[in-house]
Amino acid sequence: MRLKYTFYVLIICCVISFYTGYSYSQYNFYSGEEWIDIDKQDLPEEQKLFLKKIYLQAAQDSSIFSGGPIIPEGERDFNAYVGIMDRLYVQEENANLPLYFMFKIADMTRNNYPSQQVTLYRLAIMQQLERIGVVE
Amino acid sequence: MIKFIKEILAKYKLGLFVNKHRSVLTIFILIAGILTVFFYAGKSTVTLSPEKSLPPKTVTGFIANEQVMLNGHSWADIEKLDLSLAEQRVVKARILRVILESSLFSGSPIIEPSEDIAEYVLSVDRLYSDKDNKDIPVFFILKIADLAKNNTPDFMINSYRDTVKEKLKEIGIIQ
Repeated sequence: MRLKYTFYVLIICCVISFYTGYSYSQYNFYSGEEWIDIDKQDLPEEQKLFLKKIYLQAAQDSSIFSGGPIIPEGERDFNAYVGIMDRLYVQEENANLPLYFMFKIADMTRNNYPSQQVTLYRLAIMQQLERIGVVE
Repeated sequence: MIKFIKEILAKYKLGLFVNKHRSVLTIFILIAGILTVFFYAGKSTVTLSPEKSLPPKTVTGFIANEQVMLNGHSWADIEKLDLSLAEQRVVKARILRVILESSLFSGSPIIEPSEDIAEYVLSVDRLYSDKDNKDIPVFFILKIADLAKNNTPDFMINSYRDTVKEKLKEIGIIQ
C-alpha cells in the first residue's frame, strides 16, 4: 500500500518538476537579431535611434539598481554607444551575444581597450554562456 | 538494455505492480501527455514578432523627452512612435526583457526569468496610468507588477512603492 502511494507521489513530483523546472536554454535573450530588427522597421531615423537608446538605457538602469553598472554610472550619453553597437552586432560571431555583454564590449571599444583584451573578454563570456546553455 | 529492465522489474516485483495498476498508470501517462501538448502549443502562440500583419501606421511628430532614468515619461514616449499598438507592445516587452536580463547578469534578477514577460506590459501600462507612479523607474514598476501578479497584499505593495520613492528622492533621482 505504502509503495503504491510512494509511486503515485513520485509520478506527481516528476510531472510538477517538468513544468516548473527552468533552464536558460529555454530563454531567448535580447541579442543581435532583435537589435538589427530595429533598422528593418519602417521608421524615421530619429525614432530608430530613440529605440536603440531606450534599450541601452533600460540595460544600464537595471544594472545600476542591481548593483553592477555596465558602463560608468555617470555616463548617460547613449548616442555614442549606438554606432558601436550597430557595428558590433552586424558581425556574425556577435549575433548571439546578449545585449548586456555587447554593451560592455561597446564600452571597452569606446574606451580604446586593446583589441586582444576585448576578444578575450568576448570569448570568455561566450564560453560561459555556452556552458549554461544560453548560446549554442 | 531490455534484459536489464526485465531484471529490475522482476527483482522489485514492479511488473506485478504495473499489471495491477495499469488503468491508473495509463491515466497518469495520458494526463502528462495532454499537459505536454498544451504546454508546447501554448508556448508557440506567445511568441511576439513585429513582422506579423499589423494595422497601418500613422505618422506623428515625435519628440522624446530626455529622462535621467527610464520612467513613466519614457514609457509614454513609446506611444508617440510611428508604431501600431501591437508593435508598441513588442517594444515594451523587449524593454522589460532587457531590464530582467540586465538585472540577472548583474547578479540579482528583479523577477523570475520567464518567456511570459509580455504579460507584464499591460500591468506596467496600468501602473503608469497613475500619475503618482510616472517618475518611478521602469525597473521598480516591473517589480511592483510582479508583486501584484503574485497576489502580494496591497498594503505591502504600497509600502514597497513608498519606500522606493522615498529612497529615490533621497538620492535625487526623483523630486
